[in-house]
Amino acid sequence: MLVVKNVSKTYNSNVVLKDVSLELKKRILGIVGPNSSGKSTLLRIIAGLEKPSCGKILFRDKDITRLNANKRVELGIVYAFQIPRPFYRLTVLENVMIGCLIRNGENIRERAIKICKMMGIDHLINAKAKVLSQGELKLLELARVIATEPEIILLDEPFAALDKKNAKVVKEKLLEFKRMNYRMLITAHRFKILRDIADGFVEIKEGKIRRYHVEG
Amino acid sequence: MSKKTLEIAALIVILVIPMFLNFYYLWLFCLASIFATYTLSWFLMEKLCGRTSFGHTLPFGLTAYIAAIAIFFKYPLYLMPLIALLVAMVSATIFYATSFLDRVKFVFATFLYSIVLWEFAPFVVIKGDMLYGGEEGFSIPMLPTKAVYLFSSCLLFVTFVFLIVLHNSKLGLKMMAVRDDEEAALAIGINVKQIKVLNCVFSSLFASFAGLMYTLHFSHVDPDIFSVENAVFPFIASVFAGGYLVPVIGSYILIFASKYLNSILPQFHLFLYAIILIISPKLRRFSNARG
Ligand SMILES: Nc1ncnc2c1ncn2[C@@H]1O[C@H](COP(=O)(O)OP(=O)(O)OP(=O)(O)O)[C@@H](O)[C@H]1O
Ligand SMILES: [Mg+2]
Repeated sequence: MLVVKNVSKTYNSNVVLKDVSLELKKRILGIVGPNSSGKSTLLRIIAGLEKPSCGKILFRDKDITRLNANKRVELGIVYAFQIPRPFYRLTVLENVMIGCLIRNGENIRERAIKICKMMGIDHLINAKAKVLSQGELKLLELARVIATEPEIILLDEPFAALDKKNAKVVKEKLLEFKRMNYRMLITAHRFKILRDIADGFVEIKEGKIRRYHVEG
Repeated sequence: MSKKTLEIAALIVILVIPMFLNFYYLWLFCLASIFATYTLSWFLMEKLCGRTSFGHTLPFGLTAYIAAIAIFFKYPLYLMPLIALLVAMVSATIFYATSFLDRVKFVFATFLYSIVLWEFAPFVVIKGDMLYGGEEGFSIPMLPTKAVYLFSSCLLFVTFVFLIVLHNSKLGLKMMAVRDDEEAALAIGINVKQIKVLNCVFSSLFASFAGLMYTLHFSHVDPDIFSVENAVFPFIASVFAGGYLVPVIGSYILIFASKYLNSILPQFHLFLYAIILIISPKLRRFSNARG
């Protein structure tokens, strides 16, 4: 489905990813590694927000390395930021509607409301995104990517900066995504938090894939 | 009645008032309507794409200048919209290229454009068949003010309705997403480049047509159309910005106040501009918090 082939990334002389290869075969792959190990960089390269210094990204056997990020969303690959990046001056509903826009259909408003309900933020739909708490912003970030009707969701540390209660809420949502058969690549600092969600893990350290656990 | 309908109704009232006033006020309202269109064209870029331009004198002034030269050399009037269109395309290209800079640099770069034009405009002195522009500018045959007002008020009306429709459209939503966070917009599937191009084109188009009206209204252009004062006018006029009617009213008030202050002391209105500029951060924060 999705293949990362010998991807490297260098910023100036700082080598951030070294010859990374992995494949998303099953549904959900966890990518675990410490701070600065290159997790975000890897997901951003897959999403098209960053260009790899060398290597390829294949989606359904097609080379998408040169494709713009917005085109990749059309194909069904969407990225959720580690630190939520909502459209601050717009309302929660408008934020989600923007996610819906890419699919061109009618009733964008209704679809967006439905997604907000599913994510448990429907009581906030008329609130400006700038007033939301971190926990609510995470849910909005998830709602927005779901709105694009993706096939593969790239989730960058969905549990970062959350307390136990909110982490539990997010976890429940991710399990729901799992039941809805979305494919996901999820990064985290520890295995434990992804144990019930991911079908397999890889460990990344200093920009290198160290270990494949069960293949995801 | 929805807020949109009310705003449009209010604008119609503003546009109809001068029909019942004497010539001087008709002339003044006509000028105000031209500057209101100019402000809205600027506001389209600022409010929907988050880019503050101090260089909208580029489409505005350049159209005014080129149209005036064309009229001077007796090109037919029906060619003038074509000139506005061409200048708008050139301006849009320049604005779009500039939009790759970050937001602060964009402000200064566009400001530079207006300064450069202001510096160069006095050199427009065509000798063959004569047209002595220079510092003093040059004049063209006058059109009846009523006719000009008919055009300028229609232009303001169209610009206003266009903005309201755009604001509530899918395209408008995409523009506001790009305004708030370009990378996040890209990551959610928006073609950011295309959206920015469209925004620059719309904004330049209305500014250009406002510039054309300016020429027809004054039947005279001089280098001061590119002045700093004109470059910052939309910024000052929309400092209370909430919806789209506020910048229109702001432009009217600013034009009336300028004329009044000028009659007390030459260039006295610049004092008012300076004061508004100084307190603008506070006013903007206030109006943003409200909006
Ligand atoms: N745009 C950039 N320019 C220069 N260096 C960068 C850039 N982006 C990332 N880096 C560097 O790449 C390294 C990996 O960063 P990355 O954000 O991918 O790590 P991470 O594994 O996601 O870390 P964390 O768990 O803290 O989110 C870091 O050392 C970072 O400083
Ligand atoms: Mg990271």
